Amino acid sequence: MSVKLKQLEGLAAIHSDAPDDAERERQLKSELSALDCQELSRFGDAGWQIVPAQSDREGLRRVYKDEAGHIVIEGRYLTLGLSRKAKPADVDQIFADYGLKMHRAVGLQRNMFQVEPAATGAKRPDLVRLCEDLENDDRIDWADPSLIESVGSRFESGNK
Amino acid sequence: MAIDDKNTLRNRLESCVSYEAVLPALTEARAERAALRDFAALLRLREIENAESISLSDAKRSLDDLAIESAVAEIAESGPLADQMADFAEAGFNLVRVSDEFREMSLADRRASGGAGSVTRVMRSDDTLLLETERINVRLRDNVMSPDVAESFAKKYGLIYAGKIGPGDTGRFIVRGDYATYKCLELLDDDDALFAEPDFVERIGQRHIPSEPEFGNQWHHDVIDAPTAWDTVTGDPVRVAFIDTGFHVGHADLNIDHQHSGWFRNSPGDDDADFVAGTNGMPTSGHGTACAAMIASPENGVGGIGVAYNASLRVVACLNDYYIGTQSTLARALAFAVDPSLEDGDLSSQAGADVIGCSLGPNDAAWQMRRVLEATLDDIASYGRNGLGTPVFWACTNGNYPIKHDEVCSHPEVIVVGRSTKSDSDDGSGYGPELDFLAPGVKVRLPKSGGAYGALTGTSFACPCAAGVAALMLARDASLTATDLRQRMRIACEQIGPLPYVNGRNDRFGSGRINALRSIP
Repeated sequence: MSVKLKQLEGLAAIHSDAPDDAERERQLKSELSALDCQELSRFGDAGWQIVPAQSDREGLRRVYKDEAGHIVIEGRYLTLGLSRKAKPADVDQIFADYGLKMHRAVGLQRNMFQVEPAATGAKRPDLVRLCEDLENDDRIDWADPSLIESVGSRFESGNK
Repeated sequence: MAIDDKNTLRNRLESCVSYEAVLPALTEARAERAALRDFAALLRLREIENAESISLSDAKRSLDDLAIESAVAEIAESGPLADQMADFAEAGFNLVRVSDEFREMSLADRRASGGAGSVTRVMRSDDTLLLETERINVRLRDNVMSPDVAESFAKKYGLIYAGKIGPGDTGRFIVRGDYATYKCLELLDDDDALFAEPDFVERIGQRHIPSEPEFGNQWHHDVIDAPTAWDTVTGDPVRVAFIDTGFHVGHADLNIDHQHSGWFRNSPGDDDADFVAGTNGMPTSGHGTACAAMIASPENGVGGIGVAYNASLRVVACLNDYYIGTQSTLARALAFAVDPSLEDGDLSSQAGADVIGCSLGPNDAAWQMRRVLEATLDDIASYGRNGLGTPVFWACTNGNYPIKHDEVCSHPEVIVVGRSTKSDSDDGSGYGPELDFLAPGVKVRLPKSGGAYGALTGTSFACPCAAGVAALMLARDASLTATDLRQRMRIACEQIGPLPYVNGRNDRFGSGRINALRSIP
């Protein structure tokens, strides 16, 4: 995995049009730094709400910090780069071995695969752990979880 | 170039190519010049066959019974040469392939037979058409100038002294002789000569000044010598793609190739994105609009003008209005720019962009890159432009941080651009060995949201400025690899600022501030 992630324990994110519980969210963010809160507010603008990890709402996502210090939200897919040793026939076998469903081939050579892991019960599969497992497989060069991030632009902030 | 740089002069003269047996028929009568104006118009339309026919009938009128053939196809092989041939025609010089009989005549006899009595050969240097005359401009060392010295110098080479140039004792004078270009190469080997240059007749033209109302406020063009570069290239037919979150596609000052543009609409939850071909429904963003205008705002009498104003502009929008999304989507946007068939089966895989720019990314120090984006950038370098590599320009952080913490801008194939000011200082954007160069990006005059123009600041705008210069370069030489282009842009930079440059660079300015004119091959 190209990224090292640290999960923000106790927090989860959910994309929802429903009104959020502002007081609850304020309490959840109270232990975060001002920068983290600022970054989370950008996700909030895009419809992401911060809820307790124990919430019983459907569609909860894990929230992480990457090594660059940015907050990222767990996505739905993961991307695989196959080893040069892998044969075309291995693709289907890998998918079967790990319960993966092809979403789309990406890249100029169409040699990277966005895949969706099978759901395990009501809980979303842990993409980070799954990627670690996949990278131990000789047929797979790398596996990265899809992460939703606030990319931003290089417009000097004074202009905004 | 220093005027006494003999090596530069020698290289220029050695690069001149002669059109053997091509000479001008000179058409002086006003009525006959009308035919040559038609000839010029057809040449500009590249209607070669019809142009040949008029050229031949005009030359037959001038040169009586001498056998002649058309030289139109031979000379008009490139657009700039065809245009210059047209300009010469309007001035009365109709260039044709002449018989040996005509070629062997003295200049006086040629003139008596309907030719130009001053032109010894027709030549070209790169894309400039040159009519060689008998005249050579010479300057002697130490400004020594007396008719005796000049005459004796001329005689040494079988030339005729024809008078001094300019007032006072400047050491400059004119000599006459056949094959002036070859003769100059001999003269340049003489230690007494500071320079010797043929007095070519050429189409000098009038410097093009765009009529755009905002052009006078767009200081960045003058700083990077773009207007001079526009004398030879304006971006056509290079295809530039800019990637952002959105564009004001109906903006009067953008001329977008809608067919090869597209956008990625985030799915609910931002996990993925659907590709939408064309620009219908594309989100609007002032940021993307300003960046696109920096590259290729057309000359249409509205607003300002782009650095490569005749380049073909594609716009690719991804992420949502809040810049939220995945790097997989960003990677897909880059791949679509290089190979449109990946997302739109109706488009050709060969119709990809020649240059890509992107000014997305966090403004603080750090950005982690996902493997999908890294591998896509690797592939663009290897497979873009049929293996030549597609140059990808990226704006570095605006903050005063080392670029090494930004993994996208640290990718070895990404050309990293910081921002410089009108007075050619840096402005505190990212620094480090990863920085390629600076480009104007502080208070540059560009369209803002809503259509008005304003002074905008950010590496966001320096990046498309550099991408525009790359488009000018590829308009001149489409065979440049991405690596060659990057290196050439670095070498062509002006080494601005107070810091020393070691091996052509320093960490604060990279290789310096870009220069369009010097970058063009």
